[in-house]
This record gives sequence, structure tokens and C-alpha cells, in this order.
Amino acid sequence: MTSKARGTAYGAWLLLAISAISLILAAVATFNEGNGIAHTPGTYLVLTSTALLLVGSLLLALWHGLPRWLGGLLTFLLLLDLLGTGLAAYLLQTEWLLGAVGVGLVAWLIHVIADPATGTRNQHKTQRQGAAS
Amino acid sequence: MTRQDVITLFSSLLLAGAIGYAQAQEAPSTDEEGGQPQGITETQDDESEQDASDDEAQADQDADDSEESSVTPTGPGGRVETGPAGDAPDGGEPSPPRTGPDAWMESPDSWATFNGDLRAQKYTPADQITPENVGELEPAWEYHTGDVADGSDEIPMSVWSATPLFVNDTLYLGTPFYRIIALDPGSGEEKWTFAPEAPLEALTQPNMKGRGVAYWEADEPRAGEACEKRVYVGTMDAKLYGVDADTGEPCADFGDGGMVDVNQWNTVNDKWPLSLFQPPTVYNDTLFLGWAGKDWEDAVAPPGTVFALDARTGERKWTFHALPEEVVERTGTANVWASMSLDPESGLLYIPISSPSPNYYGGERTEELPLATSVTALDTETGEVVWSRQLVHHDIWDYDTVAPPTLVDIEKDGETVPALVQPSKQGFLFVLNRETGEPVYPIEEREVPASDAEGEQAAPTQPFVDVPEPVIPDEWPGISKLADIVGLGECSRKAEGLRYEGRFTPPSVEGTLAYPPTTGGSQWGGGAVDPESGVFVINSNSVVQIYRLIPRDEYEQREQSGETGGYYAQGDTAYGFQLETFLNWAGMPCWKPPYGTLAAYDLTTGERLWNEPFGQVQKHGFYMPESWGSVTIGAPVITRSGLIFIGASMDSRVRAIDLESGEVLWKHLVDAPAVSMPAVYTYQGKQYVTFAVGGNSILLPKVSDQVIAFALPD
Repeated sequence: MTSKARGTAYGAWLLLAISAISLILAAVATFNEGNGIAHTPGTYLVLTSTALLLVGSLLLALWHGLPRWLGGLLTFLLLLDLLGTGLAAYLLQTEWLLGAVGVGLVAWLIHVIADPATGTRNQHKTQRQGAAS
Repeated sequence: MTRQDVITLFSSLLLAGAIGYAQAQEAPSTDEEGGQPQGITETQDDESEQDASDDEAQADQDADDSEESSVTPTGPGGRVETGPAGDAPDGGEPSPPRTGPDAWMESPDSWATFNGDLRAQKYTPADQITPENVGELEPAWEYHTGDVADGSDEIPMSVWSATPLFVNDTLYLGTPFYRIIALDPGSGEEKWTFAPEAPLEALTQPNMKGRGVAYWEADEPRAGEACEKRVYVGTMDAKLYGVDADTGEPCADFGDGGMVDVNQWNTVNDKWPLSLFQPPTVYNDTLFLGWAGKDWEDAVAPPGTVFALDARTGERKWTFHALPEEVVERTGTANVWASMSLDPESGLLYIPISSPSPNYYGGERTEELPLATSVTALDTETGEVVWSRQLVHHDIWDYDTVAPPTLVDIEKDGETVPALVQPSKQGFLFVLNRETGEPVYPIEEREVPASDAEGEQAAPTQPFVDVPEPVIPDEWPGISKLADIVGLGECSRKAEGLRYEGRFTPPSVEGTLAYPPTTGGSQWGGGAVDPESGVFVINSNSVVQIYRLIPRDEYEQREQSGETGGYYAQGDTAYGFQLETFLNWAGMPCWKPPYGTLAAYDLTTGERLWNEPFGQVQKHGFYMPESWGSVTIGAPVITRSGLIFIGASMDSRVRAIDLESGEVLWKHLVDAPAVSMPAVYTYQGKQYVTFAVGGNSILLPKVSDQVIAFALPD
């Protein structure tokens, strides 16, 4: 029962949900004519960055066999993505997207602080602990 | 790097992008109309403004056209031709002169002229919308003309700066494709349209431009006759059309079946017509026409003329010439491409006259040309100069006088002074007695730097105004640290190699830092005034450009090698010219923000009441901080209730601003920068604020055909 032993990665799942919402909001900003920013490079940028955020958070939430270093790198890149998307959203004056990114940062913090550790080293450790018990 | 630095970087990129885009357009500069090479804004209108007629040639033509015409010297270097010179159109006797204001124009509910009224006050007594309720303002209706081009196909990009007119219970629009559209002012429903046969080609300007239409109606209309009320629109190929205001049908008695070919009076330069973008100024039964051309390239261009036409027949009453006859083989323009103002009580017409050609080198026109770059008062009946004040001597900066002077009576020192306020690209506000041309606030002739260019003779002094405080600082803003860092010191290195000795530093071979440059300062929109309080409001630009003279041999070599961007030949003179906006390699402005402000002045004291960054820079969709402001094209309107309505900014927003404090009280997103001034009118008891949203490539590569009216909810 490894997965149960690892616990639920609430932060990662929340981040995944926020990423999906952010992608939808970015798509609306990109293609909704008359909003003052539609079809601009700025909106295509946030569309791309939120898509990457979705992919990254998917990996984080679903791929439990990540090497530790890769998990750390992914987590760090997601932070950069969140910050960059947040800045872009601020400069685009897309309040909803900015708010979503803000929640995403909270989710990222939850993941880092409270989620069960991920990465193959920790997974092995958990398995050993499980066997000992 | 701090967050503010990051924002600054983005902002700079935005503005830079806009500037770069404008440069890439090769449009001329900044004046909107003109079209000169511009770097940012405004559009050039510089170009435009070419004046038209050559005195000599015109006199010849007049002689051919009519034995009754005569040429009379008038004022400081001007000349007037009187009599029915030119091809007298068919159609009845000229109307007898009338005096006093037209009743239809004076209605407090109307917006009957380009500037709201002839005095160019841009003021309405409407007070239904107040600072307290303006936040409730919402779109009442929206209309799309269909006349828009982004330049991606055969039709050049459109630049639409037309103020809608509300008169005759109808809203009239003129489009950049020269169509006239009549709308129901309460619903936006189309009543009729008129489309002239005009080529949609860039004959004198890089863009398709339009500032709308003019309206006239007979003082004593003939019952049952058509065309007792008319709407006029001009074209880039110099055709002026007059149509019935109720039906849109051409007026048979106006010119040749409803059209007057103004280019028939362009006898000097057959390359470019006398483009008619600015609708005529209408006073009683006379149309006063200026024109736009192309003055940034050649030395010899059509010389500045203003025509007075009979509103009913199109027959020419008189022609005013801004340039002496003896110079027109070496220079031209000094034309009137912006709107004019007129005192309906005195019958004086006030015309903002542009710089002579070529714009940036004056070695072939070293004699005094006292009417060039001036504000000049003409007698509407005769066209003779009543007074004139030159605002730039020997203009080699393209400091066209581009805005109509605002006429207002000022209470000063216990007396009522009949005044006018003349904004300028130099950033000065010249406040003059409109009856005499004498300064209300001091104008001081100060020594300015000499030119080191071969053959050039820069004027030793130029007029300066300290009160009211200029709309931009005396000194250029200085290097932006962020732009310098990003450019690895490029901005500083560039600045070190440039000549800068304050305002009026002449163009030079090594390169001159020009502040303000051809973009101004103030641009063609001019300001607005509350005649009751004497508060004057005006938007401005803070842009730095580099003026560089290029010896003729080197210029031709560059030309042969295919270098074209930002280069202007300056005709057969000793130098060509390069205009460049002061940017780093990344396209960031090398100077500090703000890039545009909106300011209010108390004309009774000359004191500046407030000066706030206005609008937001937008590029690639990103908005920069409000403290950076925006380069602006357009003009404000003031209401009696203490509101300012204005579009003008890069961020495609229209705003309502508190006249007292400068605080933004309401803003609304529109389809593109609203570079026209709004029309504020009252129809069936309801106050409307209507914007024509056209866009301008100088601000943003975003165009539109949107007309949108705002009102309070029922």
C-alpha cells in the first residue's frame, strides 16, 4: 500500500486544478475579442506558460516515480512559471488570471511544505519503512 | 532587479515598440496629418500640411481663370487673391455675406463643428453627467462603419481622427475612406451614407486619414429646395464634396455636380494634391479650407494657401498665401493642415500655420518668412492679415503650429481680456490678445544656439514662454537607467555623441538630441477650456528624437545602398536628413518617463493647477504603470459639470477625469486608441458622449471603425 503510505499530495492536486483553470482563463484572454489584449503576444505568452504549468503540475501530481533531483527541478520550474505568469497577468491586467496564479502559489507552497515527499529516493525509503513495520 | 525595474523594462519595451513601429511605418513624423517621418507620434501631420498654392503660379492661373481676380500684399509677407479666381463652378450667385454666429452652431445641445464650436473651446454646457454619477456611464449604442484598413492589403492603414458632429438631429461621421455616414443620435441606426469616387491610395500620406465632416445650413432656407442643409467631406486627392444633410444626395449647385476640385488651384507641384483631411471651417456662408501635403521630403512643395469658398456654390472668394511670391521656387508649405478657430463676433479667422519646406534644413530659405510657423488672424471677408505672431523663427525643427487656438475671454487684473491660447509643439502655451496678437503673458526672445551646418542660418533668438508653465519640461528628461543598463550603456554613449544645448538646438551632422521633437509637446488636438472658470486643459507628449543632417554625397550613397528608414531627402539642398527616436538596441526609450501627461491651467493667473501622467503605454498587450503615462494623440472635451472626456492614449481606453483634481473617475475599454476628440451632445433630454475609435499607427498598430456612444442608464 505504498500510495497510502505516501499520503495524498494535496498541494500538487490543487496546483493541477489551478493550472487547468489558469489555462482556461488564459485562453479566454487570448481569444475573447474586445478585451483589449486578445491575440496579442502577451496573451499567447500566458497561454503557453499556463499550458506548461498544467503539464508540469500533471507530472508532479501523477508521476510518483520521479527521480528526486527531477522532482526538485520540476518544482522549481513550476515556481518560475507561476511567477512569470503572474507578472504577465499583472501587466495584462487580467485580474482573474492573476488571482488564479496567486492561488497557484499557495498550492505550490502547500506542495513544498505539506505534501508527502516525492522522488525515487524517498519512495525507496518509504518502502523500507513499510517493510520494517 | 526590483519589481519596479521589471515593470519599467516592460513599459519601456512597450513604448519602444510603439515608437519603433511608428518609425518602421516611415511615415513621417509626427504630426498626424502631415505625415512626416515621424518617430512617434503624432503623426505627422507635418507633412501634411503643405500648403498649397504658389503665389506666382496661382496668380498666373487666376489670371487665366478670371480677369476679375486681384492679388494684394497683406500683412507681414502674406498675399491675398480676391475675386472669383479659379474655375468658378456652376450654380447660382454667391451668397451675400452675413455676420454673427450661426444659430444652429450655437445650440447648447449640439456638437456642430470639429471642435464643438468655432472658438475651439471643446466645451459643452451639458451637465447631466457629473463627477458624482459618471461612474454609472455605460455604452448606449455602437456602430461600425466598415471603413478600416490595417495595411495588410492594397489599402494603406487607416488613421481615423474624426470628431462626430451632432446637428440637425443627426450624428454625422466622415470616414478615412471619405464616406459620410448619418446616424440616429439616440440609437446609432444608420440614416444614409454617401460614398464619393475617390482613390483609396496613399497619395500624400502614408495612411488613409480622415478628420470627419463639416456642416452648413442656409440662414434663410428656400422652402422645398434640397441642400439647404449640407455636409462636406474632403479627400486625399483634393476633392471637396457637398451633400444634402437630410438625404446624402450630392448638391448639384456645389461645384461640379456636388464636388469642387481644390487641386485646380495647385499650380506649383503636380506630384501631390492638396489633400483635404481636415474638414472645412464653416462660418455663415463661407467654407475656409486648409490642406495637407508632403513637406518633409522636398524643398519645393506647394506653398501655403487657405481658400475661402462659397458654401452654396463652391466658388472661391479669396485665397490667402502665407509665403512671399519670391521664395516659392525654393520653398513651400507653411500651410494650414490642422483645424482653425474663428471668433463669430468679430469675424476673425485664426489659422495655425506650419513650418516651411523642407522641414529640417533651411539653407535655401534663409530670408525671413514671417508667416511661417505662426498663428495668424485673417479677416474672414477679405482674407487679409489682421495680425500675425511667429512662434518659431526660421523653423528647422518641424515645429508646425498644429492646433487651433482656443478663444476665451480671461478675467485678468480686473479686466476682461479677449484672449486666445495657442498650444505649440515646442510645449509653450502662447496666450495672446486675440484682437491684437499682443501677449497676455510675457513672450521673451532668448538667444539660442547657432547652427554649424553649411549654409544654414539658424535664428539667433526664439520666443520663450514661462507663464503658463510649458507642457513639458525645459530640459530633456535625462537617461533612463534601466534602458541604459539593458543597452549595456548604449543610451549614454549615444547621448555623449549628440549635440544638445536646450530647446532649439539646431539639427547637426553629428546628431542633435531633439526635445521636443517633431512629435511635440502638444499636437493637433490642442486644448479645451471652461469659459466660466478659465481653466484650460491639454494633453502632451514627452518624446526624444535624434535629428541628423547627412551631407548630400553621403546621403545619396546611403540611398543607393537601399537605406531608407527614417531618411528624408530635404530636396536639392546640401544635406539629407535622418530622423530617429532615441532608443536602445532593444527598442527601449532612452529617456525617463512619463511619456505623456494631461495638465490643467488657470488662465486668469497662468498657474498650472495639476499635471498628471495620462493613459498607459501598451505593447504586446502589456500595460505599463499609470505613472509612466502614454504618448497621446487626440484632445480633451470639458463639460460644465466639471468633467474632462478624452481618449487619446495608447491603451485603447476612454476616460472621464475630474476637472478639479485630475483624478480619473471612469474609464472604458474601446476597440483601439480613440485618437479623435469626443463629441458631447444632448438629444431628447439625454446627454451622450461619443467617440470615433480609429487608432493611429503612431500609438499602436491597432485600427478600428468603431463609433461608441456612452450615456447614463435610463
